[in-house]
Amino acid sequence: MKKNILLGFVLATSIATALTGCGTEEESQTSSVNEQAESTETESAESATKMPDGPPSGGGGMGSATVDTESIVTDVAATLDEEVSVSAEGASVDEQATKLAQAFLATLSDEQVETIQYDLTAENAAVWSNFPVNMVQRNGILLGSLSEESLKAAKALFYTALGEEGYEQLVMNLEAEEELGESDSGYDADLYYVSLLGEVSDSSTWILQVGGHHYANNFTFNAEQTGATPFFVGTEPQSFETADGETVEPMAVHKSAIYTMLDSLSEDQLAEAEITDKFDDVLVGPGNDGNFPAESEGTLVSSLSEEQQELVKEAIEAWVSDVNEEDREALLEAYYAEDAWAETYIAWSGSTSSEDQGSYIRIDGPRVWIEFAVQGGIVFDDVHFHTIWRDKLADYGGEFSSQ
Amino acid sequence: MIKQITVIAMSLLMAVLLIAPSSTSAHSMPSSLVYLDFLEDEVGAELIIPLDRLEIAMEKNLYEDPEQAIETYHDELVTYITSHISAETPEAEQWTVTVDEMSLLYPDTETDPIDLSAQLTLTPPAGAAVDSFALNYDAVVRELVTHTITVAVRSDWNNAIYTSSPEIIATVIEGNTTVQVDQSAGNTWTGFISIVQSGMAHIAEGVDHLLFLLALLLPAPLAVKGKRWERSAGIKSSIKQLLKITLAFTIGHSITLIIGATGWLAVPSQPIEVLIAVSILVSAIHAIRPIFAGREVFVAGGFGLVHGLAFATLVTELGVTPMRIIWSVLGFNIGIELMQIIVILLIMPWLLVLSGTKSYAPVRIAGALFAIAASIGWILDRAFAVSTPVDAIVNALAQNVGWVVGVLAVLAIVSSALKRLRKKQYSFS
Repeated sequence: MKKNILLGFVLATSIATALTGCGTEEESQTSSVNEQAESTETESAESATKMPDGPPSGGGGMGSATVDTESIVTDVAATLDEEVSVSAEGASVDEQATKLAQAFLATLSDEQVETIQYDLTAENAAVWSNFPVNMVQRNGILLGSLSEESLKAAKALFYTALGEEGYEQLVMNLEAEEELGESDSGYDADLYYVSLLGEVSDSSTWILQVGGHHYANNFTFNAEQTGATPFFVGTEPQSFETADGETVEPMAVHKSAIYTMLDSLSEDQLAEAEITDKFDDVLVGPGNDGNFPAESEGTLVSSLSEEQQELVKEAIEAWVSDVNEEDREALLEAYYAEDAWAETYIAWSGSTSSEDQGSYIRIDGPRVWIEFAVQGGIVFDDVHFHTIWRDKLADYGGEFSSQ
Repeated sequence: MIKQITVIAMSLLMAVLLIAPSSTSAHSMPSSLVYLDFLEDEVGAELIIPLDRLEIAMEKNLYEDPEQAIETYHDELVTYITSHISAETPEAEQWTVTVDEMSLLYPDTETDPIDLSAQLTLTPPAGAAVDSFALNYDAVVRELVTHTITVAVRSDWNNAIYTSSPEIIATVIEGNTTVQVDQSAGNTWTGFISIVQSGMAHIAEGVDHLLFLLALLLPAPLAVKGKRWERSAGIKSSIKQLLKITLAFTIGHSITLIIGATGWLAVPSQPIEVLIAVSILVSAIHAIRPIFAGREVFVAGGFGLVHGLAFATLVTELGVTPMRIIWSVLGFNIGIELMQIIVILLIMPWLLVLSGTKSYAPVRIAGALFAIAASIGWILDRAFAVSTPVDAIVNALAQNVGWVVGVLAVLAIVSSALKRLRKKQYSFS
């Protein structure tokens, strides 16, 4: 009997060891019923019928995203003061950008080159958002994961695409992010992404995406249309002080221009321009490409006085001046062309004050689409802004025009 | 009661998952949820609407004192809801929509909004299918155009969707507020088959149930002499004993499965889990030294009752209507029995052969010791929350069943061959 027990014991232990050693998956599959009730996995089932393409404007498709913080090697915030010098080679911004993008790619490691590149598809292009990067996955690699050299090359590329004002805007947004980071460690200027869609060459269309929390731009080069949108700019806090004691208000220009435009309206004009729909965010936001309202609402800008129309133009330019000169001029020309201008509307909802949640202003033309929405504070008490600029014809350079 | 709590917990969890997975939870504007529960003749719908969004849409002060608000504005809320939801057959005949109940759901995270939960019943017109309709829903989004709504099927017995894992079928946004709901792929038969498969899977994954049964069967072929296990009692009596034990276990767990599924017994699951581990311990000890010789059938039946309670809690989540609960219990049990039979057929023949040889004792004891170790590990884990590597090892065993059976088979064949060889040798001397 004793011998059998010994043998049995040896057998049992060796089987157990062999099994653990075999390296099988570790899934605690006890018959514990509690576990069934707790672990929910909501599966997005294939819908049986025609459904809207892509997730809704509330930043749908949210779950949590993986942010590769281990790859961070540079403190982007510390480099924001650096001057960017661009030796622009090439006649057009398309050529300049292509060269700079290629130079940028050359500074990256093989792994980074692979991670940063995507196929040029509508699906890939739609992967951008204004939500914190740990909530919605972005394309590409973190700015913080770039070496000093790569970051310099990247900045040269951004500067060429964004122009001086646009680049300044990006810097202010990154600074605002650092400010948020003081109150909540999830925010950091390092956590912005850069990605490239399509082959970067003079003979192919490609997209540059730069973005993260409260900021997303999408530049399309070598495309049929001037691809400078979709462009999301938001900010929280509205204003803050940098370490040097400087007061920064990232969206001062945008806010001031668009509310001045609204303030110039008479009571009657305001009544006509008001829309009854309510807004707690931008309508045609991330994931909602192409879903512009079928009918334009509000008041025609052509019914406004000359002065008021100038204010509308200034409001439009608050956004459009955040891109390089070549694109800016081409787009403004299109937006202000007589027939386009004759069909451009402005509208508002909720409140005419930028201090009220739910205040919403829109500029809606045959091509130009700008929304300004005021939301409640998330990290701070004060309200904060979400805005987007799109071009109904030229989003993503018109590459995915079936949307 | 358990079911309601589970449902609410599920809803909250899903709401949280969809809206706010992290500390920046308040960042996104909260969205609504619509859960659909498919019954035999009607569809239950639970609307979970963030109260602060509803407030904006209805232009009524709801958020300041929510409890008061849903009382004061009860009628307005019902009117609002019924005017923002409708369902129609493919021939555009209208369904009937009634609001049964409204209540508040409080979030776990403070920064998440309080939700209004409205329980509705959608009834198709006479003769129309219950599983195929167009749902028109634009609560909140009609007025607050940036709002989004997620529509999910929470339970659909015919299509094997159970409340523990709802399936999202659509997202409603401004301009796209009609959902074509089509759950007609399933029917009672497919639902039943899925339950059977669920039962089979559950037992296949329920290693503790199987281990209990196997521990009982280890000494089944043997006869008792004095206070020890002796040699094999012969093939016929071994099989008889095997059948008796298995039958007793089956009857035991079937009884409590049925009782438990009706929901009359609200038994907490933790003690049951511990008892199951204890049952394994007891039968494993019995496999080494007989501690209840001759009474195995009662032990199998008795502990079977305990195991059945564990199955029952699963079934209560499956079917809602009485008819479906019956089918679920039946199907689940059939699934369990089928899998049990498979396991026994896989292992018992070898044990029977082995039991006639001398090598059976170490194998029996090895099995018993393994079961003892596993059961102690589970007792520690389930009763005292002490984590052990038991689960990992046992799951590794479950995944490598093929090998184990193979080794067992080889052992059995080799041992019995050796035995026959030795017999021949003796007969020569």
